[in-house]
Amino acid sequence: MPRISPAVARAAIVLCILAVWEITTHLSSASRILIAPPSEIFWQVVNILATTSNVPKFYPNAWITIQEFIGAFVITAALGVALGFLFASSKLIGDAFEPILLVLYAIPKVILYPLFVLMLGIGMVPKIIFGITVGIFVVIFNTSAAVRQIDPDYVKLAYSLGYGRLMTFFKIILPAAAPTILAGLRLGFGYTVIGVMAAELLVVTDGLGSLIDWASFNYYTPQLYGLIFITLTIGVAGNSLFSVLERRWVR
Amino acid sequence: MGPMSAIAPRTHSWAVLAIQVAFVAAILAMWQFSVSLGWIDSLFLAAPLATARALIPTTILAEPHLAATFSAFAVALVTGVLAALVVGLLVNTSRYTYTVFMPLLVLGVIIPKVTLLPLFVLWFGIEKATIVVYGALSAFFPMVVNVSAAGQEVKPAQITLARVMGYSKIQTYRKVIIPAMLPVLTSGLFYACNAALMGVFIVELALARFGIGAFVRNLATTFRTPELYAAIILTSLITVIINMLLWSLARRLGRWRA
Amino acid sequence: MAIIEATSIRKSFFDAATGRETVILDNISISATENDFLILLGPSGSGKSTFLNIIAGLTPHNGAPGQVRVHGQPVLGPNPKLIAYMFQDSVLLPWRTVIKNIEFGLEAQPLSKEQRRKRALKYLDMVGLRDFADYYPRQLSGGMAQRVALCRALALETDIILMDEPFGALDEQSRIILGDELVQIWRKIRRTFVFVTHSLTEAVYLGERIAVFTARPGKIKTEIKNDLCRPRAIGSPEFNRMVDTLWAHLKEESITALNREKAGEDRIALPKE
Repeated sequence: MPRISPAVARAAIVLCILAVWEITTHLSSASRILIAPPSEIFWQVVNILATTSNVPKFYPNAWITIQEFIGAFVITAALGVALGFLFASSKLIGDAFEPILLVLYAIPKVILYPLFVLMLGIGMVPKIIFGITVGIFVVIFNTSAAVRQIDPDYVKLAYSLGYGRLMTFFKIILPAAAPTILAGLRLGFGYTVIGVMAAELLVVTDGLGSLIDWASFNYYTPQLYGLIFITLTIGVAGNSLFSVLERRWVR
Repeated sequence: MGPMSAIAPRTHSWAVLAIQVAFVAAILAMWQFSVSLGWIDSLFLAAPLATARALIPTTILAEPHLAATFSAFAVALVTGVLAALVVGLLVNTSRYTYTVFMPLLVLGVIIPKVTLLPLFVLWFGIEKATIVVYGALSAFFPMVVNVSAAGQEVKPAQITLARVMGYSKIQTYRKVIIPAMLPVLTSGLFYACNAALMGVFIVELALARFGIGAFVRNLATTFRTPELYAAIILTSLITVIINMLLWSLARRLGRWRA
Repeated sequence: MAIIEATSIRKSFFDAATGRETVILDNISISATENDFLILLGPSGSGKSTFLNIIAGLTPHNGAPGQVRVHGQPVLGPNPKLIAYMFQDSVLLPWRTVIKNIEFGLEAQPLSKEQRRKRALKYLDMVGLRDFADYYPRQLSGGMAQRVALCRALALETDIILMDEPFGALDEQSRIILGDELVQIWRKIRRTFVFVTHSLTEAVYLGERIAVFTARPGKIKTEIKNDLCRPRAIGSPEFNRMVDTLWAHLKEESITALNREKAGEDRIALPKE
């Protein structure tokens, strides 16, 4: 049995990849336009965060994108969970909307984006709405599945003990459904981020996407890598936050 | 959970149908009224009738683009899924490889790959290569995580059973491991398919010259709104049909499960 | 002529982390003849299941001087031509129907499709499940699933059938009924059954010979020949006498095992097989 702990093994793999990346970039004749070594990317990131790089208006743009993430996610979460509960609590409504939801889910929302821009103009609104359309389905599906899977015996127990509907909801249904709902929210956040970023890159106006487009257009490759890295980190950070919440709740 | 289904199942399915029809009718009505009452400029929102009339001409125009898109999609999906099967099975060979590599693969699912698009353009250009690579990667990561989940469906007792029956390793794969994994794999295929499609569309919408995404973008930027709506409906129809086929395949293969 | 012959079997696990050697089986010597119904009886953790796995060729033992021979040949691995195995959980493949589950055992043998089907149907008739041939495992109760598992083992037409507490997960009525059917089948087909259990009633009801295992490290405390004539009456004076005899041997082993468990000694890291 290998004695190296998995975390160490993983770190070793990542370091190896970074080392190979660094060395090949310096040694090879590949154009510096295509690829930047990790060391340069690292300094770029530091510069960008310290606003000493040539990236224009980093923090204002970053703030726009983060607002879009948060705005889109909050609405996705609230609307998604509410609809999920609605579809789970009434068999009639749930059955009626199941095929409708599946059809809506199947429509490739990306293709709708030009429409959104046409109708809602440019600015934060179409991006937020788009993020919502991409993320909401996973939240609805997970929430309604979570509520439907609750063992009806628990609900019977609650009623037999004299709990009213509201108390049953808070003391039994919510805690039992929470882990799956949280998983859905985590996935929903991920999809919302993808939606917002896709919107930013498809119709470039402002936000981190516009900065990435600026760097790409001008062939400022290290800045491009740096900006992408920062954006990815934000996305991963959000996801990790949810993972932590999920794990703490399960305990 | 409601009492309706217990009392009168036939009434229930009629009520379901009624709600669905009412919902669709309401949407269509809102659509029609928004345009005819001028709430939204018809430049931005085409009336249902205009859209319906534009359906056939648009479909004809879209044909070469559809072919381009779906050929790219097919290549991307097959590449991504096959790679995912190979890598997934390799990663699952031992607990150790699983614990080491799984978080890295999950990371691949989490990061919004769309952010990497400019990099791909830098490396592969605005041609089919970018579309296929991006689509394949979009399908790869969710599928590879799914292969691991599918691996959990195989119970150790079933492997012991195969041993006791005298099956070789390959036979065990064929007769026990793959059939056990199949339902979960098929639903993974469902997600991978959607991911690949979305990936292909995103690249086409953003940069390509051919393909449905490019076609739609052109219609939008030239404000040919009825054709735009028609194209969207057409694409959606095809995607929905693909999804429904996969969904029913997944359900049929999973029939033996509780 | 002994069909199964185990001599001086020793089985231990060495935990590299703690440097401790845990002895599961210590110097087990036992044999089974043709048409035998041998019961391996003992408290939990006495290694009786491990010993069964060693006979089946699923687990290796520590080696010389111990050896296990079946029909005079040393056991090197699973041999479905000689030995069939029944698990405590029926382990039916959920994606196959009942009859296809029975054919699963036969597909590794050189039989044609028709021969497989004929054999499967023959043994389905023997356990009385012909009508359920096209059912899926999820539609079966626990008792029915174990009948199918038994049928699958029988269909291999091996000389030896090993059973690891096959009725352990069933309710008492199913246990009694299935026990009856098992004995009837045994008398009809005249093969060697080796049956692991911790139930005294089952041991006396089913077995021709009963080997009592000690608590870990497992040794054979005693071997008892069960002369009661069949059909055996549970609760009859002779039956109870035999149960008492067995309990007298088993009692102190069970208490030892229980105390060990309470003291936490049983929590050793056993490698997965």
